[in-house]
This record gives sequence, structure tokens and C-alpha cells, in this order.
Amino acid sequence: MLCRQQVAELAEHYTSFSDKHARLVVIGSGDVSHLKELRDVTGYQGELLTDPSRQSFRLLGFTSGVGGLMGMKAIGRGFRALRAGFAPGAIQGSALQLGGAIIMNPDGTIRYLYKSREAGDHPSVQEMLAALEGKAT
Amino acid sequence: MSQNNISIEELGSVEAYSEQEKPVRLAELWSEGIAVVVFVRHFG
Repeated sequence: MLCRQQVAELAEHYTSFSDKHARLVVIGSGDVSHLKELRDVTGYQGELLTDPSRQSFRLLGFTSGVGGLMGMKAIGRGFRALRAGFAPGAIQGSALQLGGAIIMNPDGTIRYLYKSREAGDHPSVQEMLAALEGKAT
Repeated sequence: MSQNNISIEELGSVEAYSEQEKPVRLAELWSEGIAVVVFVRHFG
């Protein structure tokens, strides 16, 4: 449900990224067959990909393990997501794999990197938009 | 090239898949402009 809430938030701000001439792409780790469902429940119309091998997650050093799921903040975020109407669906992909975000420049340098510390800890949309404007984050 | 201990070449060579099961090399995402790539925890 936290994932759905995150993608729905990105859907709301999709034009904010395109207005800044940035290509917004969401990558999950589940099976290709579940991409349509995620799109349907979140309303996200942007590019949606999946890396079932999770090789990209590993190369970026994103946390994978039970430690990221057990914190009180993660539990609180789960309840808030439920109250916001994001009921959990069947988990597709690794439940232990946390995510994050990168903003890449065309020359292959990293402009912004965020690694989630626990479930529900998502990169802030405002922070990413600020990074697109060249503001330090 | 390596940044933040991340090999950009290796990362760029990873293939992700679209809804049409088309492989997409990650480097293609930022080859022509700035790309914001959000990695979500899972699809549930």
C-alpha cells in the first residue's frame, strides 16, 4: 500500500516534472504482468518499468532486509496509508527490497540520490523538484 | 565512471522491462535529457 501511495503521489505531480523537462520513470521489482494493475490503481500515466532481477537496486545500494520493515515510523506510515485509502494489494516483487530515487544528468552523472531507510520512507517530490532546479538537497 | 560508489556503466547496462515486455537499458532513460528514476519497493 505504501508503494501504491508513493506512485499515486508521483502521478499527481507528473506535470511538475515534465514542466522542468525531466523524464519521470518509475521502476519496480515485480513481474511485468503486474505493471498494468499498478497503473490502474494509482492513475500513474508516466513511464513504468520493472527490474525483476533487482540488479539496479543492488547496484544503487538500496537496502534489502527485514530491518527496513520493522521500524515504528514504517508502521505509522502504513496506518496513514490505510487511512488515505491505499489498501494493501498482493505483494509483487520482493517485500524486503527497499527503493529510492536517482536523478541522472544526460552526461551520466548523478544529480540526486536517495536511498529509502525503511518501508514508507520515500524520496520527497518537493526535494526531487528542487534538485531539478539545481538546488542543493 | 563511478559516483557515490555506484558504477554508472553497470547501472546503465541493466535492462528493465516495459508493460509490453520490451527491454529498456537504463542508460537510455537519461541519454537525451535529465531523468528522474524512482525505484519503488514493490507493487503491492
